[in-house]
Amino acid sequence: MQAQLSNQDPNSSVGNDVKSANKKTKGNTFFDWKTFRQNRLGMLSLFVIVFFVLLAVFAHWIMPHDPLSQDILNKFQGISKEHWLGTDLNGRDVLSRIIFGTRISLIVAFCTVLLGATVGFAVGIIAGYKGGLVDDILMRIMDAIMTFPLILFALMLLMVLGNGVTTLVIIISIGMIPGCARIARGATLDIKDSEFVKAALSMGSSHLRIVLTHILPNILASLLVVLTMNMSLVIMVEAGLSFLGVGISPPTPTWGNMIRDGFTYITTKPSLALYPGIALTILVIALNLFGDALRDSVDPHIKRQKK
Amino acid sequence: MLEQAIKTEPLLTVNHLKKHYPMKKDLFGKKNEVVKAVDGVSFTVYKGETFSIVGESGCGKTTTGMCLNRLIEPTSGDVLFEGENVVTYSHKQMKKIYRNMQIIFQDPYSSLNPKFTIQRIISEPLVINRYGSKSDIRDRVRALLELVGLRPEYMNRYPHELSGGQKQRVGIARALALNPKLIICDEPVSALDVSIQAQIVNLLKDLQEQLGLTYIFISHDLSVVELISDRIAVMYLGKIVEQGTRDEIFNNPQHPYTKVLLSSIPVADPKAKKNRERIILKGDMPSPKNPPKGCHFHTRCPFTTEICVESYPEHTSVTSTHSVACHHYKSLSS
Amino acid sequence: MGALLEVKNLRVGRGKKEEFMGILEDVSFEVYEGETLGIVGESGCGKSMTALTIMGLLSKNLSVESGAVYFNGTDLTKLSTTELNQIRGKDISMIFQEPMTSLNPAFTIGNQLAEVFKHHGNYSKKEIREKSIEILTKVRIPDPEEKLKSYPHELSGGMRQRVMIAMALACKPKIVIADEPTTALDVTIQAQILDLLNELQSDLNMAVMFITHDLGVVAETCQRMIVMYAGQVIEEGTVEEVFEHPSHPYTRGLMLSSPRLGSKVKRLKTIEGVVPDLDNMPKGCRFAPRCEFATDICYEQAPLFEKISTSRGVRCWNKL
Repeated sequence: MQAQLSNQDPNSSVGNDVKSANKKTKGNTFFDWKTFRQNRLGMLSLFVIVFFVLLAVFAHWIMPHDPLSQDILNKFQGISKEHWLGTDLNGRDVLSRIIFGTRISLIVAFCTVLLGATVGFAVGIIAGYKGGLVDDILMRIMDAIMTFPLILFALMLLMVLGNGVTTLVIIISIGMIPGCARIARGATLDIKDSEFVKAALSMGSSHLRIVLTHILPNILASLLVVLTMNMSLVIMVEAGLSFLGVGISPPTPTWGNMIRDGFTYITTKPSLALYPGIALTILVIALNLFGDALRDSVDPHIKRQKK
Repeated sequence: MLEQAIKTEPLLTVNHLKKHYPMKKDLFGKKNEVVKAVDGVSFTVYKGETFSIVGESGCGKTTTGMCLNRLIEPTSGDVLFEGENVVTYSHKQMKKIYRNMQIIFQDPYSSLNPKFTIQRIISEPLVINRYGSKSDIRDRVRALLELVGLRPEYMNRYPHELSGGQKQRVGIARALALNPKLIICDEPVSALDVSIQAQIVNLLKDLQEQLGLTYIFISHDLSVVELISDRIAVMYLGKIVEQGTRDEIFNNPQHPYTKVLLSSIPVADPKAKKNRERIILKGDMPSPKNPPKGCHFHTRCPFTTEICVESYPEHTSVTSTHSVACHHYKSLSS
Repeated sequence: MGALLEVKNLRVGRGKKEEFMGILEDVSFEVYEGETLGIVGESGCGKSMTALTIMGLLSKNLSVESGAVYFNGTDLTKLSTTELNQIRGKDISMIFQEPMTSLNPAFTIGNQLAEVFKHHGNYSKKEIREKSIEILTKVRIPDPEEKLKSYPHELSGGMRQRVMIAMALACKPKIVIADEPTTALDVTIQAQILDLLNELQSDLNMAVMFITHDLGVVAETCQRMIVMYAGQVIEEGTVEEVFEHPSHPYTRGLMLSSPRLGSKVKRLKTIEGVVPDLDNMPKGCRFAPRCEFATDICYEQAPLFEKISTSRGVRCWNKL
């Protein structure tokens, strides 16, 4: 027999809604792992990404040969026990070069995204939050960067700083900044006028505190998705730049310059360009699929909240 | 309640508060249109009472409420809180004021940060204002939850796990955290179901008695306002058109708009409908962009005459507590 | 007198076969010609879902598991979309709550009105224009000819709602389902719209199913009413009967917790607790956990809907 309910107890009711409400999405609201797990493509892409990361990290131990050691006599070899993917125009082991290239691609992607996204998001959040003149100025600067052709900028920078990973990272991250700023600004604008931000202001919270504790955690999810999507873009841009001869040049292998080297022999020995091309395609697709899956699983409560 | 209030000092005095939003600028930077959301509002709130501001959407009541604690910056006018004019204070100086003036928001679904636990939400004002040690704060949060009728287990839940009514209770607990003297309630029950509304209204009343709070209650729902208010101000298109005690406003409304408002409310009594004389307004509320010259209500008022079109009526006192801004109120009250 | 619309033992929910979760359970009521029936309940009680079921507008994941909706002898739930389209907008039409989202912002008012006419008859362009102006005048929209060229965002909330009403009434339907048509409007505009609906109803002799949570609106506009809770109909009767003497504890609680203008009540009586979640429906009566009059049987067995008289019905073991 149910005990008589006390008069002022809004907690008690059979079917206590706290327990039954959203059984799946209890607790922290950043990421819905369950939904993500159910997305097969997402899980698969995650494994692929992890695979590549492991390749990059343990490159030195995994590579069967030294990616730089030349063996002219054995150039243009096909698939063999010795060289699983054959050798290139200088007799270097293609597989080892691809593995090593993974490392470069991922390092560049990681550093670039980190730098570009951090600066971009910061600019976007400041512009969105402050609004007014600050917003106008910052966004016009972003527009200026966006309209300036990246390639030209890359060439200019190269002349000043010379070739190398650092230059590449700087170039691409600057190219990334406007896009990230725009997204962060939009997300900030969405949250900025929320009542809970107003509530924080009416408690005397400083603006910095509001940005860090109220705005950032609520936009983090969408920013993360942008981040992963951008990674794939960065890898493609890096490959493209290397292909054009900008950025990292041989003998250091990157997928981009491997494709470029192999391009000359595309009719005679297509595998030279094909293999790094395939590796590039797989990673990019994986990152995109991962980003998609991430988007579906992130901020799972925002949708359900609406009355 | 009211008798006590009149004998006490004014807690908040608002003088000629204005909030104008300049719209499009033409090529020369001159502002073409101005939205006069709040256009010269004055009133006083006494300690211990519930002062309600009522009106329909677009009348400026919410903007007025938000100007009081500077969530919206007033364009001009004074807001005297306990004698201090807070209009010119910096954000840092306002921090001191915030300890005594808090706000409860309308939408329980968006007034709580979805990433914060209930504990964090309620303790935030305490943390920002350096209330005490972690355990002091935790104890206070627990006490506040109990005060608003929520069990301590709720401390670790997230807003999405709570119902609308429960969320609103959290909002109330948060507003009470710093022991404020004045709470601005911005349509606190409008987004809730009727039976939950009743729970929250009762809670607010109980808390007022227990803690000696003063409320500024902003609402469009006159039935709720009748229940909870001591004094009421009716707003239309940025101005207060009538102000008085609850009984005066409900039993002896002077301004045509107040009369229309009262007669428009559907009454939950099938027998009453036969006896009701309803005044149906023509047309829609004019845009606050270009409020009509003269009395703002003249375009829809069934009693408009020439003087109404030409000049804005001043506030005249009907009694010591009741004032109205209408040229014809005397002849209309029969 | 036969009913115009008869909803019989409707069971609507989510999922299939064993995993079926009922949201609407055993919903039955009738709508007679020319009357206004009020459907009252708080959010989540299923009143909107009932309306959508009748109109065949349920979202893809919901389905009618059993029961029927009879209109003119046909079961609407069994009709195909093509067959339904003959009836929707013509014999039965609907007015929604949010006029901004139910009007297409990309098309003019004239365009949207014309669509209704085009779909349900072979009118010439001239005839459509004439009929559009006629219906806009009927819903008291000033300058109807000008308004035909306007877009929804150029009109106020009240105007848009009138346009919605115009579209719903264009083909002189027999039944209009109004789903909270004035909830999003200011109280003075609400009064205008209710007044308008009243006039139109007697003019065109249509039946109106008025869905709302506002008891005041029900008292003023409806002749009969049903009260819904947690997906079920729990009380039925004429408006006078139910307001005077609510039989179901929920109805009673609802009336006591609604602030009533002019009543001298100092404190509202509340209904404790919250509406049960779908996954956690109580075994017996769905309202039992919150009911102050609940007895043993209430927790054990779900009460059936009983007709007390020709007009009255209630789903309760302990009718008040």
